Amino acid sequence: MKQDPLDALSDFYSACHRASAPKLEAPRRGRSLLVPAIGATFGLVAALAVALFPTAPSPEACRRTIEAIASRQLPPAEPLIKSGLNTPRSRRKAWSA
Amino acid sequence: MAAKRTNDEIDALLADARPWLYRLALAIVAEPNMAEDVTQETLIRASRARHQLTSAALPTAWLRQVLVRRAMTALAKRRPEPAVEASYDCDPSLAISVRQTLNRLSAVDRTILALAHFEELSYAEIAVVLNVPVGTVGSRLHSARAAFKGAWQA
Repeated sequence: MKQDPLDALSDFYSACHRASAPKLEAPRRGRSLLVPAIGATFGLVAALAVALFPTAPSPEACRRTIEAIASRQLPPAEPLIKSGLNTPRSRRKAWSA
Repeated sequence: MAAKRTNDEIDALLADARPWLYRLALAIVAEPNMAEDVTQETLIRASRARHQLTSAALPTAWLRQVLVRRAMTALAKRRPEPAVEASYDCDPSLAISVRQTLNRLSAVDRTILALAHFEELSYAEIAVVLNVPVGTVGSRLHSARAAFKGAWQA
């Protein structure tokens, strides 16, 4: 090519200086982070749900779980009636009979 | 120490910098679509790093550094694609020749040529952008010019 290479490069750069920038949206504060944050939260919850509950537990399994938890956490069962002091008289008579 | 900038001032700064960033990206990558991507990525990066921009002494230098890194990454990842003919405000055949020649150069050579001849930065400023010693800039620029001349005549 006949033209001096650095002159050609200089002409090209001059054209770049005159180029008009496309209408790119400058990101405003907060907006670019909101959607990824919401997506990440949903993704985390979904991943936890899948990890903890791969299948929905049956009602029977739920009942057993609740019973197991209750038997461990509640204090030992106490007799409903320790003495006959608070018992209606008619029932006290029936038991003593 | 530079005064703290408000969010509104940073918004205005980014809006003002957008055309300049695009033109610098275009000078480095010589591909309008890639230049748009690089510019947008730079603006997103800047928006996420507002805490750095609030107190940066030279925000334009900070933006330039981010853009140059993005441009070099984009050039390293680029795949050979059919050239999209863009309209430059110069002789079309010259634009095509220059772009073809630039495409034969390394990302570093293209970047240093743009910083020296398009941005007209000093060696010290180029050294900061490229994170190299000032003494290295001269030799790299010399080899980049030689590479451009060689690729032009090939």
